[in-house]
Amino acid sequence: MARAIGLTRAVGAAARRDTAPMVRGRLLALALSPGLAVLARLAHRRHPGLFERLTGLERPVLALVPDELPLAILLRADPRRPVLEAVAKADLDTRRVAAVIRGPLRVLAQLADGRVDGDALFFSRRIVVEGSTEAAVALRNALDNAGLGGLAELALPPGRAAKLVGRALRLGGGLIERLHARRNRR
Amino acid sequence: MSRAAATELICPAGTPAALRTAIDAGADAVYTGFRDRTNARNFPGLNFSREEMKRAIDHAHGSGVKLFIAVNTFAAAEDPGPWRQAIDDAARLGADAAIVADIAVADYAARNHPELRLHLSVQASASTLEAISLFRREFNIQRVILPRTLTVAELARLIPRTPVEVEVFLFGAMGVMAEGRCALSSYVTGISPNLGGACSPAEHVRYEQKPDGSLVSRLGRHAISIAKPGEAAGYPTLCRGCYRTNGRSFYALEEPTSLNAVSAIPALLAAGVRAFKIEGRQRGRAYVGEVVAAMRKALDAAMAGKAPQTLATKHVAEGHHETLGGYDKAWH
Amino acid sequence: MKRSAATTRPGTRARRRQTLETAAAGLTLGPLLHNWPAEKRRDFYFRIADESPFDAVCLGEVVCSKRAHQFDPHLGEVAERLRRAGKTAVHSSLALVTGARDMEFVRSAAAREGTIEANDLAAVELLRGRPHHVGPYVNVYGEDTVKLLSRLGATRICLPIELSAEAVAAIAKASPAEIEVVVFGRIPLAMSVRCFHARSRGRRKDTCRFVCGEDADGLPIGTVEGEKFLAIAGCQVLSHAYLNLAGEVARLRRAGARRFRVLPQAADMVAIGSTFRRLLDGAIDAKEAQARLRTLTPRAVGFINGFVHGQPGEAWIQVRAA
Repeated sequence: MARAIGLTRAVGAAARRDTAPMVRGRLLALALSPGLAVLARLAHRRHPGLFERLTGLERPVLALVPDELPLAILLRADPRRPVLEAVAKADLDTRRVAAVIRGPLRVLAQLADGRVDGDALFFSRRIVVEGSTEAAVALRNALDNAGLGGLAELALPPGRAAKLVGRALRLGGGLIERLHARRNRR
Repeated sequence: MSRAAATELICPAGTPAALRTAIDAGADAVYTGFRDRTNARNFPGLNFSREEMKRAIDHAHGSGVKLFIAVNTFAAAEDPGPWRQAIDDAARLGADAAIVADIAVADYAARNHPELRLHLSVQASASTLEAISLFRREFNIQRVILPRTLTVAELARLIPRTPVEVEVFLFGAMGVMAEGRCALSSYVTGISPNLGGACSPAEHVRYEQKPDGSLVSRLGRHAISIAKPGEAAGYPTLCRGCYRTNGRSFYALEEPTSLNAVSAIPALLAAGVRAFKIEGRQRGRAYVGEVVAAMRKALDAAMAGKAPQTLATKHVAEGHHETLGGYDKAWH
Repeated sequence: MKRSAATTRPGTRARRRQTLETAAAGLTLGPLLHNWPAEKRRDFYFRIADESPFDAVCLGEVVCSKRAHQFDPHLGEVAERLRRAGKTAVHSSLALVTGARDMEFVRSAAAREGTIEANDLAAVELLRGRPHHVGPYVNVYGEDTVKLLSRLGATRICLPIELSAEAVAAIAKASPAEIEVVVFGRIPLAMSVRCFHARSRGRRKDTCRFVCGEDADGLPIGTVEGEKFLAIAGCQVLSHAYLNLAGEVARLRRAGARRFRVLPQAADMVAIGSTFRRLLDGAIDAKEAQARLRTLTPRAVGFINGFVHGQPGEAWIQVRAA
């Protein structure tokens, strides 16, 4: 119960317009991290091959950075214990990451989805890749092979639950986009 | 040579998921590679482990589809082990054919696994009756994949005299250089299709965002192409780069473009082509699904005597351009 | 009769190394890739015959069957002049054979008298059973390939320029045929049925008007950032920089290479050949050879030696005197 209140407060604080991005980022990262940890465990159980394809890299750590949020999602592709965590953008040390993939939240979701050709997203400049192209290519191939029919299928088997979660994610994503657009119009 | 034997559509499968997609979309055969330098698409995160290959062969055969394994790079001096292992495994796992290019690899396969069907890759650079005959006589190859640089007229002259089945490219990225004899990539990176199994390997590719919003694609230290803000970016494959000569910047070797020979299918069928190949093991499921379905439709239409529709595939073509390539003499 | 290193005593190994290093090393002038005017080309070969130390000289059209007729009338007198000078004329065949006209051209080359060098598997097949050479455009990456080609009649094989010194050593050890390595010149990296020279002038192969004749050493192409990078010779793409393995010759000899090939460029090839000859004979060392080669070649063209070191071809690895 106390955890839930703490989380809600953190999220609320993060949503306030006047909070500095770094603080917002850190609060959001804090709020998201437990969920990401669970997601990583479920994803590894459902798609062991996904992380296994990334282990050939020298440094199998990638960062996905959505334009609309002040945080970055880190993927550490250790085949025994893959890790998903969030850090504030300001806290992201790009030297410790093999590649950074930046883009609108919607586009990053499409990339993770595997339903849109990652090549197409990159070459049409809707995402930006910094650092190791090798890592980005490996990630793209790994996600593509996972055969996801939607982001939710990272954690859930294809079916009604996954569809529901998918819809919720899309709604949440849309909300974030609108908030971001409103904030930028000012 | 009768056309009674069905004409095959051969489709790329870079991952198990792409393989399932290709089969669902109508492939008659799929071609794959092991996760090492024994095949010419040795890209990070791509290709099949031995276990994945076994499952893939079972799945393909269960669906009535053939599976070919590409062992089409050149065995390294002092270390032919990986290539011999790949051939051994292809035979052991029950692949329908191994696609080979190296005389040494073909020799090993023919001597140790005479029952393993051998197809001759474009990497063998064998586009004449004489070269094909060499491989036929020495190694009993059953099929040759011809480079996409012969015109339809030349194919019509060559195929009836060819002692083996002929497979030609139908769709995919154009390699303008003679395959299997191109060292452009290793000149810059030390890795080429012949040395390491990849052209313009990702580990040597960097994209540089400039302050003015343009994106420079680099291979090694060389700027191979520059995309202005809003312009599509390109993968810095050397033969598709933008170069300066005589004070002019242009695609001195080749534009980024894709082969689409759908309109030539009737002529190619009449010439005796036995199989049509789609290039693209390094492309994703979305590409494979769309292209295989489109090519399936076109081939079926042509075989039924109808005109094959050049369906909308431009958006997945490289550089969003398509060409008939070498099939058309004007391209030379 | 070869014994494995494991059963050879150190003294014997050192003696064998010494023997390999001082064994007679041949010097070949490779085929000309550029479309020089016929008379200039003839005079060039006359001078090579009269004044150069090359003991084998490659004639023949390797790049484009369309332009071969220009020099054809002079082939006979050039071959005769070389023969009288005690040099062997080797006729090199077309590197990339596509289409009926190319195949006819290769057939006529293979039917010639004298020594033929096959640059494509079609020519290898035509020459099967008759002693012949194999050129660097044929893929020879390992021991089994040299053995097979030797069985088909190859007596001398010039290896692909992409190979490292270790690969050369492994192949030479297993090869019944004599092994030759390219040590100087613009490296042919790729070739196409498309003509890039014609393309650079907005033309096509059919309507080329032999524009390749305008660039005696190839047409340089640079990157969009102005870096010197490649050079075009008809349908072939070459390195802009010159391969220069003067510093690696000793190592290659120890590895078992018996002959060394110099590719003709728009430079004093007699002097360049002499530099390599003197290096091979021990009259000068690698350092002096490098210094001479630098004075004999345009400043604007760099030297590279990456491939033999297992590095990207365009690298220049500074070698200590071997």
